[in-house]
Amino acid sequence: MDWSTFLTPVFWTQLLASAVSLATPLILAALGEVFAERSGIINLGIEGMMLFSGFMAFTVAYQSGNIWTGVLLAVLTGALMSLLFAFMTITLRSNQTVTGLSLNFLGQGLAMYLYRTIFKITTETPRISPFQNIAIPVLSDIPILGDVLFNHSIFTYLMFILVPVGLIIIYRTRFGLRLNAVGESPQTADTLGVSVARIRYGCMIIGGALAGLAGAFFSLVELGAYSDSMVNGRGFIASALVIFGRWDPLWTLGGGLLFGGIDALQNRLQVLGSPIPSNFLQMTPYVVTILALLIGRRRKAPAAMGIPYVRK
Amino acid sequence: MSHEKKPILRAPRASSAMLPLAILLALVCGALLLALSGYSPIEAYAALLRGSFGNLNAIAEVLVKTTPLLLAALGLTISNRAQVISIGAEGQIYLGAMGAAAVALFMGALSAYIAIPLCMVAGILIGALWGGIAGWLKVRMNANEVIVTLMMNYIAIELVRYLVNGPWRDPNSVEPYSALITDGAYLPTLIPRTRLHVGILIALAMVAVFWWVLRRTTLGYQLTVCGANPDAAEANGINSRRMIVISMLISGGMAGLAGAVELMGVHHRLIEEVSPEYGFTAIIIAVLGRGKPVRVLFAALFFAVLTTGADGMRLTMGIPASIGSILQALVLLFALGSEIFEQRLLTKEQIRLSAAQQR
Amino acid sequence: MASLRGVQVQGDYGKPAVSGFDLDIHAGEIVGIAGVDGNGQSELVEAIVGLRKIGSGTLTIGGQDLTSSPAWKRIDAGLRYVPADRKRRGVVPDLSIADNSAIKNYRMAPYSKRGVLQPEAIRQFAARLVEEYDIRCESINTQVGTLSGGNMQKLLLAREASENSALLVVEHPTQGLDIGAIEFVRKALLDKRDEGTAILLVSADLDEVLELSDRVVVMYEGAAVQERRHDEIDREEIGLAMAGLS
Repeated sequence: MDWSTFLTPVFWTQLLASAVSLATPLILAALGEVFAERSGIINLGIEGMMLFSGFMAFTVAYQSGNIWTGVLLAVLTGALMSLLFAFMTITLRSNQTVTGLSLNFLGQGLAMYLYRTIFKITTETPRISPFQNIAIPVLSDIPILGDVLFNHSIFTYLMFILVPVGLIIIYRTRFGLRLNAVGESPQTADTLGVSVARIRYGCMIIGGALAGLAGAFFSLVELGAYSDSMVNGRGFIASALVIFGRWDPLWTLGGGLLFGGIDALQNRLQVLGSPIPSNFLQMTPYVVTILALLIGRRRKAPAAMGIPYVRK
Repeated sequence: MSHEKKPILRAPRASSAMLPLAILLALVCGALLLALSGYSPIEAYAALLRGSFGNLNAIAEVLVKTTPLLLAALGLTISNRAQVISIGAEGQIYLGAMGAAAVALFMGALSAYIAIPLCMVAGILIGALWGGIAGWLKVRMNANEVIVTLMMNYIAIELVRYLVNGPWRDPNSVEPYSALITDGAYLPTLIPRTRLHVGILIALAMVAVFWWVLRRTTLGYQLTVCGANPDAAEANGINSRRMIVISMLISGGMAGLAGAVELMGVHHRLIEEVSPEYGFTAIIIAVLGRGKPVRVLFAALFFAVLTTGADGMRLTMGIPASIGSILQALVLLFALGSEIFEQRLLTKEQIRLSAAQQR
Repeated sequence: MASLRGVQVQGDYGKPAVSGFDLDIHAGEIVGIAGVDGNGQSELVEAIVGLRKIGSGTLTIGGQDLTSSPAWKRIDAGLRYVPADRKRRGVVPDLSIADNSAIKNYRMAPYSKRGVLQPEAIRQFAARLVEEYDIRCESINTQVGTLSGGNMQKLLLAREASENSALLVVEHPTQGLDIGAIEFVRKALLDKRDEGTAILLVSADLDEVLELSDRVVVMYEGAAVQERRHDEIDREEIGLAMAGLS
């Protein structure tokens, strides 16, 4: 392997830019899940939701010729799936983990089934022209930083906007106050007149919409097509990112960029022919996630997370 | 009063009507989906039945698929009772196959009486180790076992992929699989000209073993109490941390055994896709089985029927096989959703009986 | 039989619920805790039985220091517990009377031999409990969740008081019971005391505490503020102490 490549600025610029790009779906999905978990609901179905939303995004974009309708449908799909999840876990009080996992299977199964049913697969994979990177004028001319931060798809820019928006909502609005209260002590919140169910439903919808957006990233930005394995476990990494990010949007951003960086590095090492077998490199995000979990455990989870709320 | 801090993954005493109802609802939804996709639901379900019961080969296939599902799900039943939510079965299956392969590929020619038990033990041990790590991390470091077991899956799968693409690859081939395992490690076929092997008998034996352990041993008693009322278990001195580690060892071991059995009975070599997501399906089966080994058996059979039948649908009607997992997910969702109604029925029942007691 | 010295226990919201608590409970006596709900009684009980960590101080039972021991070690040392929340912490409602009766002694002979349960011995034990405590049920295979409150409590008490109960901790023992059951339970506690069991009684029913206890300790804001023997009890004085005025 040519170690000198590590010394070139081009390598690092490309690496960091790639990191930001790869981090985008993780951070979007994780941000949505931060809302959900802060209100007390843990959703493990993000993976399936992302795949199905990504599928819907692609299909609608392909059929309609308009990529933006794809984005819209992805957000709607994610929100609807979350609504189903919310209904089952909040109103029907089913176990959140198991429900989330079955939603996974459902999302994956539906995506795989509908793709094959709608697109009779021939030798040619149906494709659309994906979102192109938009270089922000002036800012993208800054050496290194310009390419790393200001030459990305609209999804990434959206992510950069949504993170501070999320921060403001969670820490500075009445809604945020309520949502934190509901996640820590739903009984107290209820006594104070906050509708636990409404807050939780609201947070789930936010989470679902963002997960849907993240799913759309894979098909509309990364691939310009649909593939059964396009999410490839990243929905679950997003779940881990929420914990690593201590349920805080800013930490989530940081953690997501870290994960993205590792993914990007691992990709490049494979291409450069690193001495480490590619399979072990593939393992790194998962190992890092576990390590991150062990380190990140110091911040306590929202006290009521995972427990269905029953009004006495 | 301190908070109820635990999410309770427990099975309410089964009210038998709900599960068949859930299945029915799932089939109805499936029929709708099929109809909307342009297939006749009646024909499709007929193809499903033919695909799973139509001939001896079909039934053999169902049993072949039941074996690993049943083994892994039995193990998960134990960890569920200990209030641990492990989704690591898939990776443990892979590693179990790997462990058995280590014996069956590199220990030379062995007689079946040695090879088979040895491979099984290797699979169990390595699976148990993998599960035990997650259990230990949960107990010692309060690590969320859901994420840990999930991540460990991918690590395990990559490890196996590395081996079959690299050091363990069949020297006579460029395909990513190992050489054939030694003859002695082949599980004997039960029905000639089918894939049905002795593994199903091992799985059935384990059903009996688990039934006995749960009913008749102190460990089983502790697990039963933990599963039925974790707060009472804690208040009465049952060491929940010990339960967690032991149950993770058992569930890991069983999944490892499933992998070993798949290697010895079906693949006969270590391959890249050791398991078509059996580990994840086993989680659903364990939940539906509600902690009772016999129910787990029937749930595993049912899911194997769905998977085999879905294959049949694909072959005869061109319906994508993923309809099988859609149906499985729907059954679970309906079953989960109906729990609240079961609880209400149960409470009413308890109140009624309680009133009758007040003579 | 049991002593607490300088016990401090954290409450749920960061503040200590119990501080500097000293208490001795001797064999053959009932010590009652009088106090308004929310002054640390439930946290104290939880700390004694092992459901809550003891922040500082010591807990000794039968001479053994069990301050940081897990619940099962305390049970082996003779600790028994009748909790306030019967259905959540006391019994397993989905299981039968027989299964429930074994929850404290299943590890010991003759109820199990080398890890294998002996169902006959357990059944006999359960039947004995049912008879001795007059528990109204169809059979020992009846699901405990279907028992009436009174019968459930009798089962709990029977089970906890029966074997190897050196220190018996009872919380709100007659809450929600009918008159007949209340009488039964109170008498049973007195009988156990006479047999030599050390009993710690926590109850919201002040009359009950004053009537049954050999010694009454008033708890206010997590500390023991007053102690009176049965013959020294002045209801008004106790009431004032409970309100923090003494």
